[in-house]
Amino acid sequence: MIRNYFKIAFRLFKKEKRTTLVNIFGMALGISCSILIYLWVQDELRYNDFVKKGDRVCYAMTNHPMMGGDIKTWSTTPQPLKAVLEEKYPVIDKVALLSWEPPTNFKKDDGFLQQNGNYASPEIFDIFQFPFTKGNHKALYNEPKTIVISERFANRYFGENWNTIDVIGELITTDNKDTYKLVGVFKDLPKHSTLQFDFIIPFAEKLNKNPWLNHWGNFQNQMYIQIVDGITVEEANNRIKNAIIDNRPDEGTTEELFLQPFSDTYLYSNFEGGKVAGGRIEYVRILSVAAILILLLASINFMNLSTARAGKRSKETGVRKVLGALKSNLRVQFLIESVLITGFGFILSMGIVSVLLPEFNALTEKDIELTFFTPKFILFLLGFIFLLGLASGMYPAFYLSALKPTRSLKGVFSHNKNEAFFRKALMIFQFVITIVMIIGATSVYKQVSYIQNKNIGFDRENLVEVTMGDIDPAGNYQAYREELLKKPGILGVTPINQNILDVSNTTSDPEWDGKDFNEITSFTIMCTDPDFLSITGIKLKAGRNFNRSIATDTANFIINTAAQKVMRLKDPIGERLGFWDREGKIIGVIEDVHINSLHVPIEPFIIRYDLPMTYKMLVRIEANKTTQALTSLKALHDKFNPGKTFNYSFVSDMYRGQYKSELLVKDMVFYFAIVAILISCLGLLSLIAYTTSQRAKEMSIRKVLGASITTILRLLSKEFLLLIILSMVIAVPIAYYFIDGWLQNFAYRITLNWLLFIIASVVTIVIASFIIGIQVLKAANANPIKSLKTE
Amino acid sequence: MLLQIKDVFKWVNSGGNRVFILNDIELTINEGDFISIMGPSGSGKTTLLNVIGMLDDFNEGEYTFLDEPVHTLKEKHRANLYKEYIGFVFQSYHLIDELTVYENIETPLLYKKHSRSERKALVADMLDRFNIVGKKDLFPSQLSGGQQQLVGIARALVASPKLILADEPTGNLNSKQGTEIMEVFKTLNEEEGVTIIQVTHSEQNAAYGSRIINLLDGRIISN
Repeated sequence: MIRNYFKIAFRLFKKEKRTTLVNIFGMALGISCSILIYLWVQDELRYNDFVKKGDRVCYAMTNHPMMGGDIKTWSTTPQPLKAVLEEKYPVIDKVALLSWEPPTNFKKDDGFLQQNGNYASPEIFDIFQFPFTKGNHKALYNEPKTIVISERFANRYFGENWNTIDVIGELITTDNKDTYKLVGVFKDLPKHSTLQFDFIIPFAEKLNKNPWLNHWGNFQNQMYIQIVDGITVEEANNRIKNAIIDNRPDEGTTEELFLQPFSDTYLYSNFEGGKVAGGRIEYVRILSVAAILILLLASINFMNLSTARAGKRSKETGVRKVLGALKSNLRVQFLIESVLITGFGFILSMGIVSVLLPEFNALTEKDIELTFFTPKFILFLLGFIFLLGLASGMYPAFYLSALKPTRSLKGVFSHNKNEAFFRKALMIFQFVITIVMIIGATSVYKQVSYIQNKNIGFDRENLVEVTMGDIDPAGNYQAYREELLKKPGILGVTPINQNILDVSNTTSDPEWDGKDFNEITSFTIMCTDPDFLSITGIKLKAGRNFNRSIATDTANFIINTAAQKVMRLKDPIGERLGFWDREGKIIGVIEDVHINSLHVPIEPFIIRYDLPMTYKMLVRIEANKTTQALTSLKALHDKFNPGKTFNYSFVSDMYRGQYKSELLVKDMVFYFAIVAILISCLGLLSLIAYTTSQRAKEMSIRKVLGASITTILRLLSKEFLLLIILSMVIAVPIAYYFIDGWLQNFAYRITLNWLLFIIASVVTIVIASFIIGIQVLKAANANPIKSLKTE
Repeated sequence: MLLQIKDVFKWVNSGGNRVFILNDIELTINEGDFISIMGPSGSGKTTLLNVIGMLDDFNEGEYTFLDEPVHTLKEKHRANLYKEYIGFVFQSYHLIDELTVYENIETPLLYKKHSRSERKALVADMLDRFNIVGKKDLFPSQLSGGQQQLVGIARALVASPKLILADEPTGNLNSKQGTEIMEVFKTLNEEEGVTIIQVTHSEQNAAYGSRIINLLDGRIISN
C-alpha cells in the first residue's frame, strides 16, 4: 500500500512539474535558512557550556548605585573581597581572581614571543578543572615566581617537540626581565570559552608589583567563584549580596555583589538597573524566530498549493473512498506526499547549505563545520523533516480526506467559502511576515548606517592606536614623539590610557566646589597630553587647551558638557576640581563627544594632562599614505621595542567592531528578508496560476461576451492586490512595535519615519503586481475557444 | 434478502420549503436480483443508488444490509461493510488517472489489506477474464471509453462483491460498446449470482434486468 502511495506521489510530481518544483524549491530555501540559523544558534549556545550548570561555577559582578537612581553593573571586584568571601561566607567554596592584561612579551632566543595570559589565583584551575599534560598548578600556591603555560604556548616557545623534552623547571623570562619557573603545561582552553589564556602567573606576583590593588576601592579584577554543593545561585546571591558593604572598612559604600552562572556570561552580558537585561541571547532569539517564520512561509506555500489543487485531487479522493479507503488511509497518503516534498526540499537544501556555509562563516565570523553524518544531526534532521512534512500536510490531508465522495465524484468541486477564506488568510499571513521582514531589514539597515556615518564628535578615520610597549610615557616618550613627527605620513601623536571609543575607566572621586556629597556622581577619565584635542579633532567649546609650557597644567582639567551639567556649574572655567592626588582648575569645556558606544548616553568626561598613566598612543596619519605611515610606525616601534611584536589597530575598524552584532544582524535580516520575499512570491505565483486556470472558463465566457483584456486583468488582479494591501495594513503596526523595541537598545537612534513603511509596502506591491500581472496577462490573452472546449 | 430500505426520506431545505429528493422509499432486494432503476433526470435515481451504496445518507428511515442496520453504523464500520460487499461502476468510469490499468484494479484490494501475492493473482484473473492483459501497463487516458469501462467493472469485481451498483454504466459509450458491457453484467448475474442494481435511461438496457423500478420526484411509482 505504501509503495502505491509513493508511486502515485511520484507520478503526480512528474505530471505537475511546476507546482512540485515551486514547492520543493520553497521548502529548500526555508530549510536552508533554518539549518544555517540552527548551526549558528548551536554554536552560540556552546559558549561556556563545557562548564555545566551543575558545576556551580559563577562569575562575580558588582552593582554600583549612581546619582539619579541608576545602577551600573561592573564585571570587576576589589582584591580583598577574595579573602573575605573565603573566610566569612560558607556558601562560597572557591574564589579565583584574574587580572586583565595586555599581551605579554616573553624572551625567546634573540626576540620575543607575544602571548595572552593573566595573573590569577591558582584556584582558577581547581574551579575549572583544566587538565594538565605536564606538571600541575600546585606550586602556584606557594611560589609567586612560577608560571604554567598552555600546550599552544609550549609549542611556540619550545618547538614542536616540546612534549619529548623535559620542560618542567625551565625558566621563562618576560620582557620586564622577570623570570618564572615553569611548573606545568595545561591543555589549550576550549574554543567555545569566553575565558581564554595561554599562561597563568600567580596573582600574588601581581600584588607584589602593584600593592595598591590591595585597596578595597579598586574594582580591578575578574573574579570566578565556585559555590558549595546543594546551593542554588539565587541562595548564594542572597547570602553574599552585602559582602562588600559589610566588610569594606571605609564608610558609605553601596556596592552590591552578585553572581552570574558562568554558563550565562556569554549570552547574558547586558545589565540594566543591576539586573540581567539580555545580550547576545536577544540575537539568538531574533534569529530563531526568523528561522521559524521562514519555515512557516515555506509550509504555508505547501498548504495553499495543496488545497488549491484539491479540485484536481477531489475525483481521486472520491474514487478511493468508494473503493473502500478510510479517511485515515487518505490522510496517510497526503501526508506521505508532503513528507516527500519536504524530503526533496531537504536534499536540495543540503546542497545549498554546503555551498553557502563558507560565506555564512565569513559573515558571522564563525568557524562552523558541517558534520552531516553525526547520528545526532541526522536524527535531528529526520525528525525535523518528518515534523515539517506533517505540519505542512496536516491541513491539506484533513481537508481533502473530508470531502464527500458523492460530491467530489460529480466533479462539481464547489469552492467552499471557508476554504477560500482560509487560503486567503494564509496568504495574508505570509505577506504580513514578508512585509514585516522587509520593514525590519530596512530599519535595521538605516540604524546601522546611521551608526556608521554618525559624527561622533571626532574624526575616527586615519587614526591608529599603537601600544607603547617599553616606551616610558614619562621618560623616552618625548624622544619617540620627536622622532615620529619627522617620519613621512605621520601628522601627530598623543598618549592615552583608554580606548577612545569606549572610555570605561570610571571614578566618583572628583570633588569640586558645591559638590553634593550625598550623591554619587561618576566620571569617565582620560589621561593624555595637550595634543589629544588636535589629534582627535575634538573641539573646545570654552576655555583653552593644556599647554606644555605651563607647568601647573598637569593639575588642570578639561571637561565635557555632560560633566558640566552633573557638576551644576554655570561657568566652569576656573572652577576648582580635584581627584587622584591632583587639584587644579577646569580650564576648558569640550563639546559632547561619543566616548562610549551609541547604546548609552554620553557620560560625564574629564581629561587629565597625566603622562605617567598612559600606556598607548593615538597616531593621526595622512590620508592616502597609510602604508608609508605604518612602515614609519613599525620602524620606530622596532627601535624602541627591539624584537617585540608591533601591534596597531585603526580606530575606524575598532568602531565597526564595537557594533559587530548590529552589523551581523543587519546582514542576516537582509538576507532573510530576501528569502522571505522569494518564498512568498513563489507561493503567490503558483496560487495565481491555479486561480486563473480555475477561472479560465469564466474568463473565456467574459471574453466571448466582449470583455477587453484590461477588464479581465483588473478583475483577476483586484482580489490579490486587495489581499496584499490588507497584509500591509496588518504588518505596519507589528513591524513598528518590534523595530521600536529594538531601537530602544540605542541611546542614539533613527526616528521611525512613515516613509520607511511606505517604501517597504510599495516594494512589496510592485513585486507582487509584477508576478500577478505576468500570470494574469497570460490567462487573459488565452484563446477562449480552448478553455470552453474542454468543458 | 440482501438489503431492505424502509420509509426512507431525504430532503434539502430550499428557501423555507422542504424539497424531497427521496420520498418514502420502500425497497427490498434479494440476492441474485438484476434491477434497473429508471426515471427522468432529477427523479432521484443516482441518490437512491448512492444511499444503497452507503455513499450518501438520508434524513429519515431505516436501511438494513445483510441484517446490519446501516443507518446506525459509524462511518468506519459502514466503510468496512461496503468495501467488503459492494462494487461501484460509474458512467464516467472514474479511473484514477495517475494509475495504470493494473494498479487501478488492484486499488480496492489494497484497502482490504490483501497480501501482495493474493492481489497479484486476483488482478491477473480479472485481466484475463476481460481480455485486457495486454493493456495492463497503460494509463486510462490511453484507452477507449469501452475499454475504460471494462477496467471499471474489473475493478468493481476484483474484491468479489455481492452487489454491483452501476450508475449509467453505458452512458458514455457507443451502442456497440454499450451492448458488450450489458452482456458482461448479464453473464455476471446469471453465472455467478452477483446482484446488480443499475441506473439507466435506456429501455433496451433496462430489459437486461429482472425488475424495473420507476422513480418520479423521489417517489417509486412502479416496482
